Amino acid sequence: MSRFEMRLVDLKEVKERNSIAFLRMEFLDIRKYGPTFGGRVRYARDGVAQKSGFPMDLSKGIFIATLEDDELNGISRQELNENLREAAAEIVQLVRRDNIPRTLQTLLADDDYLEYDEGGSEPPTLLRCRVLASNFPADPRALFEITRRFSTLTREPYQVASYGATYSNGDNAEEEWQEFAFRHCNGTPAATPPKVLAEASQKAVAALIRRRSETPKMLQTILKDYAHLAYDERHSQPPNFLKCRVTAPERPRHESELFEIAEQLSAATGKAYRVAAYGGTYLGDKGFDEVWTHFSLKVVNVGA
Amino acid sequence: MPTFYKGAGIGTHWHKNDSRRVGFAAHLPEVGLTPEALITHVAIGTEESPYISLTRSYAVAWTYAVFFGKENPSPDNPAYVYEIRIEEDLSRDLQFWDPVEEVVQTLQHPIHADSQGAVPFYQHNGLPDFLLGVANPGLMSDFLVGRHPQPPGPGAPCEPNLTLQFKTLVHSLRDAEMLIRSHVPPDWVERRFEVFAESGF
Repeated sequence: MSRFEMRLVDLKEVKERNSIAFLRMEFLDIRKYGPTFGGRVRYARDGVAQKSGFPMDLSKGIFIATLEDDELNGISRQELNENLREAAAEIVQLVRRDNIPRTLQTLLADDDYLEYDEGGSEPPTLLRCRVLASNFPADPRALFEITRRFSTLTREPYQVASYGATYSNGDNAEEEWQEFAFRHCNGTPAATPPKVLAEASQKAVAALIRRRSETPKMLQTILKDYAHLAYDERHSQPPNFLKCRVTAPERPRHESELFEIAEQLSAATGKAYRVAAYGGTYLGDKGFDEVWTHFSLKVVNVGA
Repeated sequence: MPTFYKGAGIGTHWHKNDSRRVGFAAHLPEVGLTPEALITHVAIGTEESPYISLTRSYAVAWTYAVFFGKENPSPDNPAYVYEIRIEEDLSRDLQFWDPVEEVVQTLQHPIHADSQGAVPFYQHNGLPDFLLGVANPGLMSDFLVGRHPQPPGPGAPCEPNLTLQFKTLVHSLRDAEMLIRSHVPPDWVERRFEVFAESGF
């Protein structure tokens, strides 16, 4: 028996080649074994999603197998391989970008005071964190030390973008901050000094607060058509990260319904929601796509 | 008799074709055997190659079978690991290579290789953990880029040296890889194990 999570990375940014549209990368993360370096790229051919995928060696950044000879439909093998080599390089970059928040989670796991705010982040550009314990030594210098360590780990130029209390004007912002954010600065120094979040646009803040309360309701409305699923409020961070659980594990289910739910939520909210992962306990008697007991949805920046 | 393994994920060629009956053959055996073809096979891809990859490690073959298929394997639809026992007498025209040994033979003597000339050195000139990025660029490519100290003085900063020979050495070692050409007869394929994720934990 193994606890597993199937991690999904959205690939719709990858350019279509030879009528092959790249949908998502899937790779297993099994507890005590870790994420595998092999994954499977799901794709659509001529607009039709295919049942199988292209296995990919994430370590080498190459496809292990692609179309069979009888599936080429007039494409030369050489042309296909050249195009897929280019696509593989783009896919590896997207997988790496998707992994950056996990590096931050690993870093913050070293102490009990801070946690990564998946719902409020827009990785890899903006990563938010929040204070968990009231006895946290809220010295801003600690933020810069965390930033330094994070930049060292990722080899990416992150800087403190802001810190402060949640949407309130505190007189002692330097001592009472409850959250902070890193911003990727593309190798250039931060253009502006750190600001407290309270200085952010009131309009944007109001919209975010509204989405925080409305999005779970929209999801719950969608889930009414899926009697075996329920919104998991406790583990969600709306509006950007939403978790759901299976309430009737005896009922048959398939991963395809997860993508239906993501599409419906995207249509309802006007934001692009994607399946981030699904997981559960793997007993070895059925496929992964049939035994999941939870899944998560996240917002992606389409075309970012 | 040495024992080797080969993984076959669902939907891949050696999953659809039972090697206990047909043995193993390279995809393009007519392609010439050159160091370049060997390096391409290991570092870039195996689809158009005169070589067949085997591994010393059951665990590597298991990984390829379970995670490098077109679908997830399950007990009802398992992937396969083949166990191959090579007869020491290679009288059947079987050609066998250790890719590390083959690549090493192509390397220039250190005195004849430099970074500017026609013969670049194969070593990297980045940080020690640059190697992690080469071994796993999918999840550790950050080790390939970023700050790599260079000698003080004039000159533009540049990326560390990364040659195909170096990548081939690293990936061959990662997979405990051996290469074979020609046809592996079916009677050398001793067993075929049915595998899926749960079977490994």
